[in-house]
Amino acid sequence: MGIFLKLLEALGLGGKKVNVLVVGLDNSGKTTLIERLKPKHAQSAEVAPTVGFSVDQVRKGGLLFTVFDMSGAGRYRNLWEMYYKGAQAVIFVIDSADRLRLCVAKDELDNLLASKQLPAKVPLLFYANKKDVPTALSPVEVAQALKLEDIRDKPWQIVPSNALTGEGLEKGTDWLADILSR
Amino acid sequence: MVCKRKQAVWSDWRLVIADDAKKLKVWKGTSLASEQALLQEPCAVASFYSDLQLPRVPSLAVAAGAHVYIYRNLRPYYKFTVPVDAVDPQEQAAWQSWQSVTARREGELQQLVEALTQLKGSGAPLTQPSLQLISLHAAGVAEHAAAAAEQQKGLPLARPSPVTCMGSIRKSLEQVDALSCLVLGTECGSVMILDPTGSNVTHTVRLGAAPSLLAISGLLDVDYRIAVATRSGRVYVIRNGELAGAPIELEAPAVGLLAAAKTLLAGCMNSSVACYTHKGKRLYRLQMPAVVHAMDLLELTRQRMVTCLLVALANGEIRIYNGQHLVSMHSVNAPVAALYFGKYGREDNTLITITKSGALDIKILPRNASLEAPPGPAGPPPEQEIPLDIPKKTSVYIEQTERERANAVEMHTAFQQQLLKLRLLTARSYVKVLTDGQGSISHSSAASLQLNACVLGLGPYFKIKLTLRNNGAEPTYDLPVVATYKPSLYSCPVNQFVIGVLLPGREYNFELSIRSLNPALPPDDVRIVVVNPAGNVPLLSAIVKMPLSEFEEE
Repeated sequence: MGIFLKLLEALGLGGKKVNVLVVGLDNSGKTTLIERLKPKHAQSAEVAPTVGFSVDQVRKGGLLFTVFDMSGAGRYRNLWEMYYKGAQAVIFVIDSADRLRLCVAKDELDNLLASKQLPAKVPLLFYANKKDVPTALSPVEVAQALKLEDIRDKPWQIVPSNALTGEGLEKGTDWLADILSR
Repeated sequence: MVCKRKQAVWSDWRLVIADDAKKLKVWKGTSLASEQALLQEPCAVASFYSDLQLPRVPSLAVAAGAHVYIYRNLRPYYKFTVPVDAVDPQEQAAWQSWQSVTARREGELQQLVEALTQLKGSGAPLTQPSLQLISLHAAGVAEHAAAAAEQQKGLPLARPSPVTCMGSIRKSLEQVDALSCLVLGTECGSVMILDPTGSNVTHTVRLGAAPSLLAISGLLDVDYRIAVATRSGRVYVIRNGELAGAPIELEAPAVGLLAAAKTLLAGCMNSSVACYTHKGKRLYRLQMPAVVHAMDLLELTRQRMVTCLLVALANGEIRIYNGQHLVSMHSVNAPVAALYFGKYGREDNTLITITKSGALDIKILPRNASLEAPPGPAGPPPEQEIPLDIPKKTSVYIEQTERERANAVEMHTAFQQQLLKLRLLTARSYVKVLTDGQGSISHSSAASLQLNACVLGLGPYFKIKLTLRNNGAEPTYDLPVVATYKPSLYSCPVNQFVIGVLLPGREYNFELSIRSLNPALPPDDVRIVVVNPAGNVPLLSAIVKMPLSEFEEE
């Protein structure tokens, strides 16, 4: 199976289309992270704060991810819930160096989990981003702060990442591809 | 431990704290970014934009003593000294004359004190040494007063004016990073507005009392208001460079002063917060369970427009009021020294609390936090609006009462008129009776007569009993008595007779027999008339109402 999918990927033929919602606070690195997931030639060097949301397509492990990059700015966060319904996976990006606003991230995560619009078994992928910053928290500390152990009805994974270099992103998307292709 | 801290948020929304330990600390996120030593104990901190250069970097002003230290990029840049006030010439003269005398004599100090006291009484602003001398003299410690006066010898008199409070006002644009100016309140009772560079005073307003708090709103070049709370417990409003109206008298000296959209919020020492209009009308008053320590405004302007009042109390509570309604409350474990709500780092709605124990507490307002006032009006319960079910008679009575109240004068005059008419009518009728002999008493002749008549019997045969009495002093003679009736109904064998004599004071009884002719018909009156033999008007008359007659037994 794995070989076949890899072959398909190499040929550039994706089978299944998956809608992925990328959320997280402002300045947590969502857009940068999506840029790094794209092929090298399609990446842009500079990213600006997203206004509203933007849609991108990324091919990964035989799956065609349609990525909804939601803006994290406070005034656009109420847009997130509009896209919960069609989401087949959610990526939640956390700035692990911003200790002060972890409580805000927790608040937004609680809102997300409490939403009735969100499909029941949707996989949640957490990126503890900016792990290169010296004061960054470890993924375990982030998981504790967000009380991820309380999420029992959905599959979830937390991965440390550095969206600037693309470090750790692969690990997360592999997990997501694995869950979704089951 | 430091107890008094002043703060301002600066640059990319970092927190600047100047504390009593003469340290200027800058916090970024949850860590201390830098720390600098200050020359003097600071009393106020403010940030302002002194130029139009890009990128926008604000200047930081720290007021200490009579100086304002201006920092740019956290490096000392400029020191502004508050201009020294002129000393009253009379005060100067008094000190000079005292100092010029070389040999001291007893009464000279007394003379100086008297001269200064007189000056103080006339309302002249005195220098610190003069005030000290007066108070020492008044306290009765003559040697201390003399020592204080000696100490002043050779020193120039000056009135330095330390800064008591400081704020900033935007010059002509509403933007957060628009050009702005510093506003200073000084000990000598004036409020000064500096130019954007912070080197010259452009406006000065004299209040006459030392300001303690400033609340600034508006734009300097367009329309602005500076509310100034003084230590004397008053709030002055400066509008476009001039004092507007009479000062607002607070219940107690202010500990916090805020300018909301159209109102002023003043926290007082008597554990209350009062809301005033700019014209000085008090709108409401909130009673707090403990003394107010710090106040700030919670203003949301982005997604929703909400303005709430944040109050930190002595018992560690921090309350949030929307208008008069308490919408939220939390507690920190120590009394609060300072409170700031606004942007910090990337977060727009952050509440920073500094406690007296030296702790820094940062709270972030959740995006979906409800700050709405509970539905329904405050104060009177809704039942008060429902009208009472008043009975019809009561409402008629109320209407009548109201009508009486409205037309009292007309009603009184109408009543008096009617009463007079009634009295007149009564008097006229009475006179007529007396002259006509229609009644049973007659006073017309010399004799005063009284006649009573009653009917005896069941019928058809009746007996009318007449009782005549002469109340006069003279006897009367030959009085004819006539009974008149309907001849179709009654018959009387003797229907007239003559009374020979009526002696005064005696009762005379007479009887008349009368028969009902047809008992089936309704009875009629029988009239007994005592005729005056001399005139043609009857003396007396009595109407006898005949009873219903029985049928004659066969």
